[in-house]
Amino acid sequence: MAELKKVKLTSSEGTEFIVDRKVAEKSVLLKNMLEDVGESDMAIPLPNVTGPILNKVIDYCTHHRDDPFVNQEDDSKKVSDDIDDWDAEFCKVDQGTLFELILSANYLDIKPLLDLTCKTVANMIKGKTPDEIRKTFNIINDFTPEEEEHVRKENEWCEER
Amino acid sequence: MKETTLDDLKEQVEILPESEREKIIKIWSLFSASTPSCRHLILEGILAQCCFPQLSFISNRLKGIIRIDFIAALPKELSIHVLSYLDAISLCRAAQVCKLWKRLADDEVVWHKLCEQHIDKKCHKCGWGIPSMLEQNRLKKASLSNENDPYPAYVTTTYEILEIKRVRISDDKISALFEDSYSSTCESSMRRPWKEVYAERQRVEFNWRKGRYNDRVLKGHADGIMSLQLDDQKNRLITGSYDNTIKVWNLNTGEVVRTLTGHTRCVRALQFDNVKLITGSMDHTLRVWNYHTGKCMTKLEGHTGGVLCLHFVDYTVASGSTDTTIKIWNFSTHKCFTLNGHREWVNKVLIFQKTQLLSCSDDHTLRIWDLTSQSCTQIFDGHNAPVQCIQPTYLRMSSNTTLTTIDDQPCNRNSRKDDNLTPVIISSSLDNVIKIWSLQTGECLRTLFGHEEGVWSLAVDKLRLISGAQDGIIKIWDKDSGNCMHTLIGHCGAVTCVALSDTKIITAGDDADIRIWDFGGQ
Repeated sequence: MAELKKVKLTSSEGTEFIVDRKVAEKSVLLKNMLEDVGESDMAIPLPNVTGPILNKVIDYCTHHRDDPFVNQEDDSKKVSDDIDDWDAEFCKVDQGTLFELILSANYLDIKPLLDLTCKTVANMIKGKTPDEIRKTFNIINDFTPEEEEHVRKENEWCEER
Repeated sequence: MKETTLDDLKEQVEILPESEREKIIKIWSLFSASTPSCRHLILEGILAQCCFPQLSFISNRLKGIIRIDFIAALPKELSIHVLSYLDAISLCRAAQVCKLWKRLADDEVVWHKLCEQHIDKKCHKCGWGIPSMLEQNRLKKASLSNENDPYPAYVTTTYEILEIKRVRISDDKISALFEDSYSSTCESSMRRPWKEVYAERQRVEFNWRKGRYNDRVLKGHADGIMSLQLDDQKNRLITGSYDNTIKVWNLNTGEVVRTLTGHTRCVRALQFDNVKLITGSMDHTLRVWNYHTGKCMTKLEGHTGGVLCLHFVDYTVASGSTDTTIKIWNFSTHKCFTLNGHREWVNKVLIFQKTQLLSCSDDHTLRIWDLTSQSCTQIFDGHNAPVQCIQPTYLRMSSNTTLTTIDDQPCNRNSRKDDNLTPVIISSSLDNVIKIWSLQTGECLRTLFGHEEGVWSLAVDKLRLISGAQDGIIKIWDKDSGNCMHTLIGHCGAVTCVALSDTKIITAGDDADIRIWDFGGQ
């Protein structure tokens, strides 16, 4: 039974993780690698992913191991408020971890995790004023007062009701 | 919270006694010289020795420190991916954060997606739809650059030999000509930023929602108006009246371009395309006109009563009459047949799916006919008075068919609805109500109450339904929910005909006035 096969992964610090092949295959990158390599006991090195992040990613993939695989990006599903409780809890991490998760999901090619983490960032932006957004993400306003006024005018239409 | 830098800390350390100072600086430098894994262990060690207040201090400090400018730090395609989850308001606010955010939040890809979700349809995320005006703007530019329409002359030559087939070919040639003449202007207008397009459409949609419009009145007919058709893209309006004439109007100037005379009684029905106009009159005839020249090309005789309605698609013309029959005239075979079934005046006919016909009558019913077998296949019974108007459309029904509500703001909450587009027929009757029927089952899905007198006329697009009534009142309905959004008052007689475009409602009626309600203003 291919499904019960285990796969060894090594994080950037050299920590080894052993996961079910089915869990690892949530990552399209790993799935393709495993298909290319075939039967092997060799650990797959993931130099771009740190141990703690890899741990989180494995948690995610384990929880979602039985989800159907969605191949095509469905544009109609571009909503950020359809996050279920487990996923929401999963994303309650500091910004540093969230940032690493986005990069890892992108690198490992785990589309649902990438979508989830990007939605989480989008939800951090939503409903905030420009100044609140700057505070949330520690951004310096580099507009001159004239530019700022110009940009405000330019975007005024959206506030109109 | 302001971030504390290492330099700030060094200042604080300066005031400490020498020994203390050296200790602290040594710890810092040891830490900074350590390898990542050693640093990890050092931190773990410090944490293990901390008491709760100290841990709380760390925890609170961290919240302020771990802040990342995701949009700047992520690769561009991922930043765009994040931004594509935002609604219009959030994107506009994001654009005001800083220069880099502005560049990405104004990105064409992001706004194109938003436009796709909303323009000419209801976004199923937020229940918002905005009108599609792209084609219109494009063509507006074209017609400006073509003050002298290139095709009247063209039409004359081919239309002289009245054979629909030839006309069709010339029709195609004309549109081909037209494409060439405005391809350059159309390209430049297509290159307008999507954000600007979205902003413009949203403004128009707000005007509709708020009921903000400019109105004007066109006068010219000497008696009540019974029929009209609008081509907003070409700024063309044609009306038919009790004064026996047909008038072609230029909507830009509000002037009558041409008055077509020939019918000897009221013009009750009309329909035009790029080349021809067909009219139906109480004088029992239908006439085919070249409305660019004003010349009547042919006359269709056969009805034994006044012609109340007509509809043409390709080579087929359907007409309904006071003689209670419907006649189908085929211009490619030159044959005509009659559908019998209605017991009273036939007020509207509508060809759909090429071989089906829908009709409504003073006998209170709607009927569906199969043109191939020339028989009535379905009768819709439900109105209690003459049915004056019918319009086919699609309705987005929520799965339990209860009324759907609309959010006040785009994309502001989880309100995904099933994308359930049901083909329906909307009918209006002198029993004061509008009914919505399922085309598939013939069941009456909904009855719209609101008018206090008979409803003569209907117009519909993807977002709205407009109705005009005996008492001169016009109502704007949200099509999917069936809620009345606005009531327009102005006519002092029955509103017998209405037309609807992305930005306008045009109404006309017994008072001989044409009213233009323009929602496209600033």
